[in-house]
Amino acid sequence: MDAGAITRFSTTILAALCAGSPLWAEDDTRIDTRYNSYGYPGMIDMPVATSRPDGELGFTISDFAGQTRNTLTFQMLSRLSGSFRYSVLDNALSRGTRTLYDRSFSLHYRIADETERRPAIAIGLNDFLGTGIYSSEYIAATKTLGNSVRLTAGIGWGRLGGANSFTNPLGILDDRFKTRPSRDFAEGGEVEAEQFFRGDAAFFGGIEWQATDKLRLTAEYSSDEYSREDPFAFQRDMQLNLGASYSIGPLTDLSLRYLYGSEIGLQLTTAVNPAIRPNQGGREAAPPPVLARASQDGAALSWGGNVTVNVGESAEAQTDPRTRLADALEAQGLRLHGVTLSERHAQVEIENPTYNQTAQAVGRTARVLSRLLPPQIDRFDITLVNAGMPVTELRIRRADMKALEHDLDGSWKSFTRTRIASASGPVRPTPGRYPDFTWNIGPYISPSYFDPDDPIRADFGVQLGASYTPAPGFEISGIVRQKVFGNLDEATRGSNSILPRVRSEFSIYDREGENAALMQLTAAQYFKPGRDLYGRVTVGYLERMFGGLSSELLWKPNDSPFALGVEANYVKQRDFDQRFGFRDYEVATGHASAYWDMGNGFHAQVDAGRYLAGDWGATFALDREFGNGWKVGAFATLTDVPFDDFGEGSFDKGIRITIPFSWLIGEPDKRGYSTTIRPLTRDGGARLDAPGRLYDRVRPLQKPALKDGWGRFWR
Amino acid sequence: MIPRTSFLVRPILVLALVVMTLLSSCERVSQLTGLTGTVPVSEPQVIGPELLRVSIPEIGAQATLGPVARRDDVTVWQTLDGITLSLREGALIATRGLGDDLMSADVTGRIEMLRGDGGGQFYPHIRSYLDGEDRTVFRSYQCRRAEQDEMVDDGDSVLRRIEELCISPSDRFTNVYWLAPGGTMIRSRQWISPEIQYMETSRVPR
Repeated sequence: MDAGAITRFSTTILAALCAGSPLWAEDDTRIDTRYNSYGYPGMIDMPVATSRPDGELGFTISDFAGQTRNTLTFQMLSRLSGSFRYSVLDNALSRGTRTLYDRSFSLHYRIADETERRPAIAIGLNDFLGTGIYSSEYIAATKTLGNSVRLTAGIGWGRLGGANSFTNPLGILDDRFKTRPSRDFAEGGEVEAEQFFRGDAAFFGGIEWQATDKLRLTAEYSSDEYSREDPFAFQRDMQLNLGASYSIGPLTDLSLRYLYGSEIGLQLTTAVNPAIRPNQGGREAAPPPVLARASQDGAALSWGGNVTVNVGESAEAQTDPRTRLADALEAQGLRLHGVTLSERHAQVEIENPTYNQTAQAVGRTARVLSRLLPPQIDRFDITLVNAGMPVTELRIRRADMKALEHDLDGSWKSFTRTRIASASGPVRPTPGRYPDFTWNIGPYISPSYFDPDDPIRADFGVQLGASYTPAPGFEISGIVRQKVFGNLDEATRGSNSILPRVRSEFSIYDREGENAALMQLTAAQYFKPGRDLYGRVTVGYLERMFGGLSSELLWKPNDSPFALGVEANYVKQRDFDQRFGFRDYEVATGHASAYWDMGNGFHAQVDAGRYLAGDWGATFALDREFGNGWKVGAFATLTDVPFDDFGEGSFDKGIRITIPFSWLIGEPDKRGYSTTIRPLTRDGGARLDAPGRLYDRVRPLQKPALKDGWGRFWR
Repeated sequence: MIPRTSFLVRPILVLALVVMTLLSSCERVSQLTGLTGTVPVSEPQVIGPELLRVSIPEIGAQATLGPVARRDDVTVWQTLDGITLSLREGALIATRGLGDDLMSADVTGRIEMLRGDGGGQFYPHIRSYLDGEDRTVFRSYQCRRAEQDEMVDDGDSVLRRIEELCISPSDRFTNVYWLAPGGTMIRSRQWISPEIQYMETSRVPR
């Protein structure tokens, strides 16, 4: 697999190189669906009616006649995919003298699946938001013949209604369909719904033949007239396109095309499916058995005021049982926060710095307790603690650990027998847990996208983090970054924003903060004012552009899909060099937030309030979260800033992706790489990036997340 | 069809290749294979002198395991680098630390089959795995003992070689067991999972 060609564009897709094979290889050898030059399911330029596998992230680079399209496509649902595209169109502006840089979105929805008699049918929208270079709509039908041949026919509007077009048949319904209104795009970014399916229409079609396992041949009749590119970018001689695709990896292929009778085109496609883990279940060491022998109970630790020495045991038994318990948990990557024994019950508080699934931390804790605690203890009350806040208490019967360890359905049985509820009462930390000091050092990467001078830039460097915790929930922490190499400082485009420049001067921060930039230096207090309430107050240098005071309160019942939060901040803009100084701009900003776990991995969030530029509005976000920690989502913010004042793009929007390290390395690791891709970074609808927000701290420790991850309880 | 790749299995292969015998002093596997070691490997605390030699041809792994737990017919065997195999009366019911692990299995029918002497009867066998999103996936098999056992001369004694075929809607495997006259399992070849394929076990004579 040639990595060099694809790393050029996007660091977010690095993981795609590791795209694994399906866990269970299917015997179904029927011709599958590929991505077209626009990066959505299709043939060469034209669409098909089928879809890629659910959850797949596809990335394509297509180039011909100076027309380069880089597309990221996410199969959001089994039937629905969405694409974001960054295109470079040489000679497409000013009668062929200038290059056009364009961002566009596409949606492809499969209405009907293929059956014996009926083809699959899909509907699609292209470039419905931006300036509309690729604006088009289509309805396509695809039918498979045998196992290796597939026919597609469809009708297109807009750009896809160009060549050999005819009067819109929808004109029967209403005369308005017969003309396509011109686009009033101004700053772009508005949904141009009044154009949909209007104006002249045209037919397109094609045939795909999977000649061998690796080679596919495609011929299509295109309905795209390329009226913007022809004749300045290239000369169209006919509407027939021919292509050959060769698979160079499990999800990677290279395509060569002969386009419009005059041009040669190339396309590289690769994809990754977050739901398929390259390392399967993970390679971490096995957990300790619940009991070594049925009679082992008697050999357990002795507790209470006096430490008794068991016969035949060494000095090991003479150490404090709490220390031995802490050591045994630490051997499992867990941290003992507190332990209290009553006559029959053990109350154990743990912190989980290791496992991505909290359920796995719980399972390993319960195993350790079964091995170490005295025999009269018949119940473990395990409290999950994060930032000194007791979030969830799990009540596990010791007998169930023994009975279910080797049970076929031990996972579900143990979940149903475990009582899970919000923790009540304060934490009781063991002596020695506080104060605590930790630090870490590691590499960082800071990318920047879509500057027309260089669509992708990045800095690489070293990041040092340190944290001091004098008492439960009280955390003093800082992060310093030192750039080692990179080209973010090459960005020369200044801000032309007429709003307070709260984000648009990011390139000055990049340039002036090259040496020992203080990314964060804060003192935070986390607390739990009520059973389902969580609180945070943070002061200091909150993020690289703002410092000040941030406070937050979150209401999140343990077993509820809903949560509400409020956040109030007063912040001042920091100096460009990201040391200790401030600039003149200060603002009160804050939001009321509503969170909804919609099920099946979908999470919705609305934040309404005042943004950094003093504008009022709301952010709508929808994320798909995979059970292994991958997240792919999109957001949009509408505020009272008029689109003309906002500038290009009209409003703030983007997509965000999180890749968990554990998915890549196959071992537990709670870190991950997250990136947000905004078509444009401007000042309207910009939110403070306060560290330590509560929802993400609390939710993984609560019942719905525990249930989803309980398969790892016995792992 | 998406062709199967194995390049991501390599780390496991490398790990497995250097799995050493339990009793000989040897290097720690995790240091050789670039495991970040977020979960430390603890020394196996063996509870008996017996040893089990296991090889997994698909990933080129070989190891000698010692027993670390024995309760209710189930013995948990562990390698030096923290891989465990759980066997119920010799029949595999779980693995941990291999990656594509067998999470649990019901081997009631298999144990009855091994105790009896006739072939031909079908009996159910259920296994569970984790999918890529940590959800439990059950796979249900129908198994049958081969019509004819084979008697194999093993030097000291004659072993009964029993073959068993299991079929699910999506895959199939053939396990083989060698039993001593008393019914003790001396050797076996048992299927683990699609990525790991078969393991071969044999008791190390004392």
